[in-house]
Parts: sequence; structure tokens; C-alpha cells
Amino acid sequence: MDCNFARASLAFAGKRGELATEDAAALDAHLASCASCAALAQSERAFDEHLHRAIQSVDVPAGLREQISVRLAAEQGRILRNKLLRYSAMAASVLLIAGLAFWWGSRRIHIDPHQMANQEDVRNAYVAVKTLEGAEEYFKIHGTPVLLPSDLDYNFESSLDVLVIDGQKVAQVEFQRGEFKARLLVFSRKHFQLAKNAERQAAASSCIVETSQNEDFIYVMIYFGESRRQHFQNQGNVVG
Amino acid sequence: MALPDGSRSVQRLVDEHYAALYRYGYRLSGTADDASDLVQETYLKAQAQLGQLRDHSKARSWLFSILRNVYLHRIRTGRNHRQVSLDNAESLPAPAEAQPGVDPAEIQTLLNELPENFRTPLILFYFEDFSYRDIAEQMDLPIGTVMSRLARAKAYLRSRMK
Repeated sequence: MDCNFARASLAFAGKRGELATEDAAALDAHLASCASCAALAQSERAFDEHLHRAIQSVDVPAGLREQISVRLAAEQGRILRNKLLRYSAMAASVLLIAGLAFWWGSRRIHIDPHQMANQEDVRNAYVAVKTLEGAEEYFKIHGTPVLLPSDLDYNFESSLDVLVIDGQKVAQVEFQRGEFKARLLVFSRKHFQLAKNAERQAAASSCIVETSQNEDFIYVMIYFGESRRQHFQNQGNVVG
Repeated sequence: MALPDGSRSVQRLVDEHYAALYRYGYRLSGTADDASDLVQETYLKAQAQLGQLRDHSKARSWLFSILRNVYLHRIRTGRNHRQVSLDNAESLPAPAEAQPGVDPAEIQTLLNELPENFRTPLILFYFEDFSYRDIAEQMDLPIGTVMSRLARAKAYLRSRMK
């Protein structure tokens, strides 16, 4: 190996070891016998080490890691909220697919903010009770008495609402258990019916809808994501 | 709907690489605020594109690549350093002393004088574990070009350091 080749090889001969084994051996042998190239190699090595330390020598701000984590979590929350909005819209579409018949009303409804505020207080009071009886009492005093499924655990109930669908009241109970979420709608058979050929279960890309009925009510349960009925049942009723 | 595995993966990437990314961002941009912004935006993009990372051993290189792209996107909208031409950098004489001192505070001023396509390989070279091949992949350049730019950038720094 001559000096020109040796000096060209020095660029590879650093700690990264990108020089081929036989060339590294040849370079070492040359440096052992050539003082000029050895001095250059020493100078390059020293400069590299100094520059490496200098470039690495940056103080990382305290709290930066936490700042990053908070920002990532906020973005994740925004994405999940957008997904929930899409699921709600999809659930509304699924109801149409289930083939419910509606009575059309034509009168305009007056909106009373005071009444709505009072209703909200009452709703919150009943939501806090978290029992089947409490939920049924809530719907009763709001003019939509229902019989709620007894196999479900109302400790997982997260909200009670009375919806108005084309002039008729519909009871809604939302369930939340960790990451699992479901929505129960109870329709009176006096005003609604399922389409004759409606299947008991309908699936969309992000939710599953199950229907059942008895003499008086139609029950529509919407499961979001991986949720299923067993996630919200009383322990004695869990199947499988 | 929750993404527990994805969140854990991103947090792991944060824990393992945020400091190195910050240092890289600082040396690229020259200011602490810009470096913090660059790192945060890098992790947001990494979170959104996590599916692209199939081999965790390549995570560092992947994150550095994202940060550099974020940085380049920003400077295209116009932040100008006073930069010098390195056309004749290799012919610049080295200083007389065998071991030039390198002041960490001075280094950023000198780095800012370098054009970005010379500054980046230099910064990457002096971060642990980045080989010529890694740098070439990062910058989508031939290895020879990387070596040439690195040599010229080093020569410039040596000529400017006291």
C-alpha cells in the first residue's frame, strides 16, 4: 500500500470499521512503517473525536420527553374523537338498514331552555344511580316507560337519554366498560316495527347491531369496535 | 377503538430516541425552539406512519429521516443562513496544531455556515452508529457523494477552527 492509497483509506478506517479486512490490515502495516501517514492518521482521529464530542454536546431540555408524550396523547385523543363521530353516524345509518317504520309528525315543537336545563339535572341524578330500576324510572317520568333487559349490568351505564325519532320517544342507554362501548335503543311496538325480513344481526366495518323483541318493545343494541354483549352483562349471565 | 399496542410502540420510540433526535434537530436548525418543534413534529408523523416501521432495529434511522424531511420542508419556506461555498474547501490549509480545539458553542455557528447538503452528512457522521451507507440511504445519495461532501465539510471546519 502506498501513501496515496493509505491516505484515501483513512476516511474509512475510523471506528465505524467500513474498511475491508484485508485493506485494514494493509493500512495498519503501512502506518506502522510511514511516520508521515501515521501522523496524519493521528491528526484525523483526534479531530474526529473532538468534533464528535462537540456535535454531541447539546443539552436536552428538561421536560421535553413529557412534552412529546402529552402532544402525542392529545393527537391520539383527537383521532379517537373523530372515530367516535364516524361511528355515531354509521349507527344512524344502520338503524335505517334495520328497516324500522316511522310515524311522521308535522307540528313544530317548541324548545324551552329552562325545561331542558331541568331535564338535564334530572337525567344526571338518574344516571348516577346506575341500576336497572333507576333507568326504568327515568324513562317512565319522561313519558317513555320501557322494560330494560335484565341481563345487562347497569353499573356500566354511562348515560340515559330520550330521543325523539319522527315524533316518537325512544329510550337510549349507553354503556361504557373501559375501551368497550355499546348503545341500547328501546322502541315501543305501538309505534315501530322491524322490517319483515330484517336479520337479527347486521354488521358494518366498525360496529355490530343486534335486534330482539318481545310483545311490547323492540331492542336494538349497537356494539362499537370489539365490544360484545358479554362485556356488559351481569356476571351470572355471561355466556362463554 | 383504543390503540394500546401502537401507543406503547410510539412511547418506546420516544423513550429510546428523543434525546438523540433533539441533538440532531438542534445541530440542523441551530436553535432550541426549532429543535423542540422538529422533534415533536417528527413523533407526530411517526405515530401516524407507525405501520411503515416493520423492523424496530431501523427505528433510529427512520426517525432521523423523518426529522430531516420535516426540517427540509420548513427551510423551503425560507429560512436563510449565511452560507458559504465549499467549492474549494479541500484546498484550504489545515491549522498548524495537530489537535485543534473544538468549542461546542462555536460549532453551531460554523455548522450554520455550511449548506444543508453538507451540514447534514457531517452531523449524521458524528452521531453514533451512522455509517457512510446509513448516511447515503438517509440522503438518497451515492456513497461516493457522501464521502466527498463530508470531506469538504470537514476541511472547511478545520480551516475555520482556531
